[in-house]
Amino acid sequence: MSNKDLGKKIQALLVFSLAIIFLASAVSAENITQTPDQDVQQLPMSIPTLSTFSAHKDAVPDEAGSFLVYPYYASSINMHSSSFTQISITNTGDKEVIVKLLFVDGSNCLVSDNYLTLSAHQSTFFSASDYVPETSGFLIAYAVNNTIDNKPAKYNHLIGSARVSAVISGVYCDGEYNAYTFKALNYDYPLLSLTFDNDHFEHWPNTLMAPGILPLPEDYRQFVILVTPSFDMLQNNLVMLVYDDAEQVYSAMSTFTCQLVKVINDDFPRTAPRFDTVIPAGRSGWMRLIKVNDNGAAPMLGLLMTCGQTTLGGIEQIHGACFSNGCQNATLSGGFQ
Amino acid sequence: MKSKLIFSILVMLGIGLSSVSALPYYEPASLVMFPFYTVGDSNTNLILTNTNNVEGTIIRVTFINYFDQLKSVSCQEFNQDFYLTPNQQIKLMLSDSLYTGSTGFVAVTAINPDGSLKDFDYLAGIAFISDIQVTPYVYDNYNGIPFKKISNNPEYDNAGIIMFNETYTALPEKLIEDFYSTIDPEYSTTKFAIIPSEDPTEPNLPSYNLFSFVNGNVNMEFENYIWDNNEYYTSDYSESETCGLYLYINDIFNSRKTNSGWIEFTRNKDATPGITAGYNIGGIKIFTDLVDRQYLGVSNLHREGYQQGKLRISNSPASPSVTSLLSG
Repeated sequence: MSNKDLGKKIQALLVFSLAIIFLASAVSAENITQTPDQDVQQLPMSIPTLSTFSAHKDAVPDEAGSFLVYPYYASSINMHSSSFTQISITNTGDKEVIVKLLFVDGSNCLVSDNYLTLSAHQSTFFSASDYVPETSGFLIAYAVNNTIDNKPAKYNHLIGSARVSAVISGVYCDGEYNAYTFKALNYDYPLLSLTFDNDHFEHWPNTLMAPGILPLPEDYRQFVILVTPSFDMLQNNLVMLVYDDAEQVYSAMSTFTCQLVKVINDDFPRTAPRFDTVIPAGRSGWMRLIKVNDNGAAPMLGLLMTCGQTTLGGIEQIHGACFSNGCQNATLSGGFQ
Repeated sequence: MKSKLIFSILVMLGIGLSSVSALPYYEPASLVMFPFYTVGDSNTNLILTNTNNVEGTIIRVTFINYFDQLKSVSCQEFNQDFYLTPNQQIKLMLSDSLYTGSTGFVAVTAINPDGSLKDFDYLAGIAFISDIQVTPYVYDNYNGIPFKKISNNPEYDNAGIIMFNETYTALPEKLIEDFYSTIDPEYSTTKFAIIPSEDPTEPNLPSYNLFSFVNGNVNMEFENYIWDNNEYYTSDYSESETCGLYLYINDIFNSRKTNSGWIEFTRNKDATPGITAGYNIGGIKIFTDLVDRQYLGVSNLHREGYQQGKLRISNSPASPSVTSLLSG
């Protein structure tokens, strides 16, 4: 037997063994029971099937919708601190619409609400500091039927973007991003709740993929920003899988509440070995981010923001997807009514 | 517990990799379009990722220039094949392989070794654009626009024909920029880069060229709503013999020095009798603030509506240097 044949056989054996291990662990994981002292609950481990492709032909990013999420704003009325976010909302439809704004303070998850009315085809922009000075957090904007009962309306003609000039942890972050948009689907308005189940509203992703993790010069930083559809201070468990340019995977965990804003460094994601060793200068990598709860991977959205000591911009939505058994439903609660 | 949890997630990723449906955010896909690259004083760094844990793929990266300053030509096509192993990411600094002074767009497709189009909805991409018009050096990034493979049709797939809304997800009917300003170009500039598609109903297009509609016009209607008083404008802009549009906003609104609002970019297919063209595939806005905060803002245009369209890429077999990796 030649060395090449032997190598192929060993390779096949390894692949087969790994597959058996994966399957066995998946099955055994189903039987894992949670003990009271466990701080993280296990994922549901039914063995997912391979892709049963049922793509919607019409679902694409950046479409107009009824519900917008701006994952990050920073506001300051102090000109010297130079944190500033200009929010844009546009009504691309031919009817007047009332938009409810929920500014969620990222430090304590408290919600400050407001309304604005957009006439047909109107675009407006405002500074976040006009509404919530000296805070940072995330903004939700959605169409409502009226300002009395606050029922969400089906009006899939809203788009938005944000232009950020902020100072975070001593570095300048300048750039702009499009708001995430979610369509209201099969219900006649007024909708009864903000439920993201692909029936009322489109799903949120349950896994995020940040494709452009770059080792940057000393004066530059990359930030990961995550938000969840909740306004409470409950801790969410976050699992991060970091891939280096040799496709090696390193894992790390963290927790956050309604919003996470973290600079990527040796402390986040806290891999072993540390991040600077995993992705050293001159190399690149990417990262999966998965928020987990009792039922498995849970919904969240995010931004990847690149900042520098001098002016340097770069803010973009992090790629999202639903892996395994698909996205969990999410209901926005505690503050939207 | 931590290791068990992480291992469980790895197991889930390893077995149930696929998204179950297309959703309204940037999902991995079989085709990723980048409406703009620039090489020269500015530069572009493309980062492409195979998010599949277990399967590798060949990708064909096709560059089409809007205009090559050095050679004074446009619509030149150049492609490179790569093999991405599971979870692999590659960085392409475009100045390494493209002429200085060129701008254009990029199509990244998953292909089979014979060059046919492949159903592989695991490709994700991001582009970093740098700009040295302002000092210090600034850049911004934007996501590649994903199009999932929704059906297989050997007639199209083997010929390298991408049929949007038939074998791939749909094109938008309109592209929308919701936040523009046309102010003095000394202070800031706003440019748009837009990729058109072929008319899928036109049967008589030559098949040898990636963008065989290059002899057609790119006719677009711009609708401008001024936000403060709903003032409404419509202006047409047309440019012939081009495979993409790269223009300054002041080319569109040359009579107004300062305004802001939003624009719809809509293909006016009937503007020029006899000319056929499909809807736009996608576009981005490139905003450069030259004075105030001095930054570059690059973002994808918003989309509305669903339409068909056609795009061709080379269907030649994958490069032998790449396919050799498969047999190895």
